[in-house]
Amino acid sequence: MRSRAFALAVAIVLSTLGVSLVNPGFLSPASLVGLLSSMAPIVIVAIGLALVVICGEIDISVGTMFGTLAAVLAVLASPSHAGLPAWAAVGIVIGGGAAAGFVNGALTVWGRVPSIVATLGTMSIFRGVTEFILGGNWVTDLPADLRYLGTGAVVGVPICVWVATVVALAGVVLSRRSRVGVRLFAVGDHAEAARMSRVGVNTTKLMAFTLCGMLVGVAVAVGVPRLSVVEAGVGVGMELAAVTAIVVGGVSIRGGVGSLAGVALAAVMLGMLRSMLVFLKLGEAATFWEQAIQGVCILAAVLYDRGGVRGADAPLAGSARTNPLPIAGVLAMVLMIAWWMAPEFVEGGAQASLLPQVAEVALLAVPMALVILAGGIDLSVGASMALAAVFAGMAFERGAPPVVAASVAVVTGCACGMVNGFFVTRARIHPLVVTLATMALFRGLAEGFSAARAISGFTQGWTALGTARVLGVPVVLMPALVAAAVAAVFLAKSTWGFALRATGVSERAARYCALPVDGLKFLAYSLSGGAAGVAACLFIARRNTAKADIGLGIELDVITACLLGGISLTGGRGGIVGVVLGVALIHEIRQFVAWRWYHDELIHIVLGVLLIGSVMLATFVRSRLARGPVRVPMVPKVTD
Amino acid sequence: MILNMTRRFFIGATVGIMASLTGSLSGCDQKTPATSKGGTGAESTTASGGETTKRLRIAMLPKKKGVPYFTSCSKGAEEAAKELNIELIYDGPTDGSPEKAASMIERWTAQGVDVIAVSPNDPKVLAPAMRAARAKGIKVITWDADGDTDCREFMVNQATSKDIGFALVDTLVKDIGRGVGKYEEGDVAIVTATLTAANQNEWIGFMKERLKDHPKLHLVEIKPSNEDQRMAFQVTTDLISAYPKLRGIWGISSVSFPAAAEAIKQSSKKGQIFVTGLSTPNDMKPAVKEGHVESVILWNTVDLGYLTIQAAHALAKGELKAGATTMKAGRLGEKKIDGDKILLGDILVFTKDNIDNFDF
Repeated sequence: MRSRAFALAVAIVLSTLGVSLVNPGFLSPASLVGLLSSMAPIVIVAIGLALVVICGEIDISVGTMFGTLAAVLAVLASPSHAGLPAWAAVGIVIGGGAAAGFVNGALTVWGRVPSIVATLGTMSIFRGVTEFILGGNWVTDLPADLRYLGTGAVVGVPICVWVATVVALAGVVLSRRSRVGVRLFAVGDHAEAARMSRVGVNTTKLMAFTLCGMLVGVAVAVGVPRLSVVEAGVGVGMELAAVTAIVVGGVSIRGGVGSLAGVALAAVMLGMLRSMLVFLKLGEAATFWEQAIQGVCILAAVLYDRGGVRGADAPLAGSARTNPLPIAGVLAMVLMIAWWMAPEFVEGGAQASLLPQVAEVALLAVPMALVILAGGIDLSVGASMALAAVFAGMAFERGAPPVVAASVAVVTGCACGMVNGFFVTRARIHPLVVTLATMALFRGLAEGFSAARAISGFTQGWTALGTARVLGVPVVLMPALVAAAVAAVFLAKSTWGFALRATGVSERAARYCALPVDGLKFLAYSLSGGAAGVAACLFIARRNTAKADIGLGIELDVITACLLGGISLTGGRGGIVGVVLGVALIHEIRQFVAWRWYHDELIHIVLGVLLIGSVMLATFVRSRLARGPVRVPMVPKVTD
Repeated sequence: MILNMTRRFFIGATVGIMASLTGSLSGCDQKTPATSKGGTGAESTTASGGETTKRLRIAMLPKKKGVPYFTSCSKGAEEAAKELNIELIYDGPTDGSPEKAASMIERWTAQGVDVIAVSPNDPKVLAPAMRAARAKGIKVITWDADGDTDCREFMVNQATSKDIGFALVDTLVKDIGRGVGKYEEGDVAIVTATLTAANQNEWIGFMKERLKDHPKLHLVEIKPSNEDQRMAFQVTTDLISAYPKLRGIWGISSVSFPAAAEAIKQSSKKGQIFVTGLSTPNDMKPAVKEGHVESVILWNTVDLGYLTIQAAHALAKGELKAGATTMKAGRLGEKKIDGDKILLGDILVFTKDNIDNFDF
């Protein structure tokens, strides 16, 4: 993995030289210093997140945590608010970061909520909290001594660059030359084996989460004061940038493998991409292709990673089908509360009229469940949906009849899914990495081909479907219902359904049993893409618009619905009934909170709490019902 | 045993938290049933007891909730709501997503509010929902930005996209001319929100049209900032280094303006490169006073919110009808109506001479 860092360093040097040949301005001190200081926060956050990923967990709340801590820093330090001295505000923010990281760790380790679920929940909570802290206003009066942390320089190099360098070096030393580092890798490689070797698995994980949170605090302290304004959008999307840096940097998303030097260099490389495009002076038309170019670069970088599918297969605990009762209980409770507080939300025609809004999420959740059951994940569904919609729109503009345009969408979606399936099954790259890259690529292509404009004016026949009903059921919901029914039967009754689960439980065992593992996975991804194509048609029907930004962030809703519905990210476990209930739960919560309180900020917090709470509840119920397989420890726990 | 207890603790805690959350939330609403925010139709009728006339419910949708521009509009709206004794619902997507905005319109339609005042982030995506609301008999107006004309009855117009685009160009050209004598040939660039942002793209169209009058200024780049301050800052820094002849930058999203201004301030080209954009005066006061921003463009946002609710109220009461040429708008007095556009007044340009006169 050292070679990964080396390769990245070479790539950085070569591309810097290449761009400076075209535009010498790129090598000017001002531009280099500016470039490095803009990357500093990302480098620091990526190093922190890498510690968590190396020990086999993930923290996707880092971006919104960054935002919350930035808001806290601003409110504490600004003279027109709390007016604390800068050092105190910075201390509180770094301490608060560590505390937030600890909470993530505690939810994972003690609350037994998978880290991706726990941090998906806290991500949403942080987001809402930031909005409430700032209350719709900006903080524009950061005191001068705090601003110095962001704008000051020592020996000509900005403070934030010094801090990022120190963090990166410390990270490298910690991970390579210390017992703590060895433990991180050991825990990430095989938690059970580490436990047998008397490594405190829980302690190590808690420490990684806490360090990660603390580093987010550090990144806030040096990154935020560089800008003059603190607003609620600070840090949004940072988790994606950090995860991308980590996978491009060669850290295995399954844990136990990777180098922090690679992560730091990857963060620098990715940060340079956009700037290089400016210096190449490609002009306006090229800007539309910027994101696609980035996607290609990420894909090329991860293609280099032929590590493939590795790591211990999680033992399947308990039954393969999860019990949908807890989630049904939560849904019933939500509806009861809603009925008690606002009867007209449940009784009148409200439910029926709001139902079409969930059409796309519901449809996408079904194949997503299949993908996750097979041990994968598909982050690119929203982007595939946008590309499919754009192609359908362009076909329609060129005079294609609606049926043809819709078919174009479905074919495009399938093609997107096949691309994912190809890279996952043939190139054997981790699906999270593949779809992270194709997410940028597909949306970039959609932006490029459509030049970011909206295509509207679809025929009446198409858009009428958006409001049409058959026997009271919205037409746009039917694809989802059909897909759910077919998938449920497929999973329960067909041999292939069992084979799909087996693939998710243990791919190796499935291969030994001569199951068509690759074929099944390829099928799952293609279906996911195809569903995105259909979802694009549904969106066009409902909103009469095809555009490159549709479906933005929908993958989060879809995955959250699957997780709520009891689909286990380790593969193999879960059922379609649960997924349908999960979709319904998210939909009802979102609608009701908005219906009753008119606070978009509040929805984030409620959804986050609900996600963590209901997964805890489900875990509890499951371990109660299926005592034994889950709870029998593999080895006696040894404290260190 | 210990495990059992911890589990019980977790269950207890989860249920407790959820119960207290719902409890406290319902509590805060029950305490103030007559508040302008929150509350449902059923509640407002019970609150008004034996009164026969129901309080009007007006829903106001900003493009993006949580930015100072719209927060200041909401202040004016609340002021009008209090004066007129109506129930104001102010909510919008915090991430500015058009799909979420459309779903809010659909929700308010299902709730049967009286008027929906929309600031469309993406007129195309919002159009079907707005039409559906009208079909249900709900009055729909637009404010801040216009939608398709068959989607709404009136628009509360502070400035058309054309006005904004032209003002952006004219102001920057004036600043460049003042700063370096008569401007020579030079480059200009735009830092926008996202490439798909509908309003910004409309402004850019008119900016290009206006720039034709200034052939010596070359528009070299239109870069997205994805509403991320850090990215806007970096893009501006890159533009400054990459284009030595750069003379001016427009920051045309809520965060790209302050970020671009800050990037110019921190660069060595302060005083040679000019930046302008739309922003509330309070947020740009420090920058204007320090001198790295000459001019800030906007209109009176508090008045815009106020006028919007006044117009919505007049429309619901039947006082405002198609073909009217004026309307009475509370403390703003008589306002002109041009066709189906209710005019707020002129675009304001804030400079260091007048910015202290405004507080919003």
